Amino acid sequence: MAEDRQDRTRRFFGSRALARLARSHVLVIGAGAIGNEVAKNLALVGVGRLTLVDPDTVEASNLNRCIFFRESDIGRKKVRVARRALKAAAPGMELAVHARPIQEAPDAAWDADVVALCVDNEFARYYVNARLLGERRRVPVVNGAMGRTWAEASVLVPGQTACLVCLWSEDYHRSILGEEVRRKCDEFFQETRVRFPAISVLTSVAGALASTEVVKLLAHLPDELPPALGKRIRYDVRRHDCLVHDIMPNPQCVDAMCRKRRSP
Amino acid sequence: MSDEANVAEVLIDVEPANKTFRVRVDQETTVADLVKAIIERCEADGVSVERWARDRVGHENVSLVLMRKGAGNVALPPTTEFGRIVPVVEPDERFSLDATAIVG
Repeated sequence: MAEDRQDRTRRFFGSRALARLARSHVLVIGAGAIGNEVAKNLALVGVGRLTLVDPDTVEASNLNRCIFFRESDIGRKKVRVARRALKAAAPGMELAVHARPIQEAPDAAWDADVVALCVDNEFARYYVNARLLGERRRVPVVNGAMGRTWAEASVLVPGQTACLVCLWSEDYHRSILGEEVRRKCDEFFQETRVRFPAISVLTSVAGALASTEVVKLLAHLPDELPPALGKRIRYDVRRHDCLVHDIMPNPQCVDAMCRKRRSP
Repeated sequence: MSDEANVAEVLIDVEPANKTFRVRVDQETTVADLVKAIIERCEADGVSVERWARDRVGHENVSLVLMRKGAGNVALPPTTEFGRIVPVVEPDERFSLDATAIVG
């Protein structure tokens, strides 16, 4: 039965790469719109173990673009709702969910081959980056995000390529840390956040870009499917422009560990 | 920009202003210096780059990035000095101002 399920995937990747996918562990951080798409794609493609982390609950405003959420799920933890759908989509996949911020995820969550970052706040990116830079092994991270008219995914190995914050200025770094302090101190901050326009087609594109790169990293077929290491892929729906560009590592990165790991 | 040429003029495409600026940079000019100068120049023309960026990425805090278009597409860190960019920056080389997406 399991072989039938993956017949078309095996024809695409070959048996050895499919076995690598089945042995892989992906940490997906964020179970919102892009996180839904990424987790869905990884489950369907045959990733063997997935850990999903997000502290938030489903809101009515999520329903226009999140494939796993229904009206009846409003008020429930996103990761628990996602678990139900993922179990149905891929019964053989080992799945752990944690309804808490990534800062409070257990160490086992970080025992991942790739991290898929699908969050909507920069402090989480800052934290994940610092955590990955502190790991002895170098763990790739695929960062998915959306602008008003575009979807993008960057593929980085902090400490080897540019890191997630190499493009941050000192001022921006300070403002992100300040925002996090304000958020923790102000109980009404969540309600005062601006809601960004977002539609399902863009989240699908962002999820597809990010999950494609995760799968390329895991399948390890460097000649046929080379991952876009050190690059950012951006697809703009206005004129269907697809831009792939390098992210230059920053020798004066705001993260001291990035600077240290990069120094000769 | 070669060691002999301490100064070069580069072209910066700035979408919110709907124009291309010609800017003179030297070896020590950083990307952050240039972005700041562009923001100020746009403000003098009544164009808010930061408002444009906020609308583009949907967040109060925005990270503006300078993209090098001439030699491949490269996002340049803010501390980068023009004299240290490899391969060297050519006169009239084209760059663009961009904003990084945040929302997931």
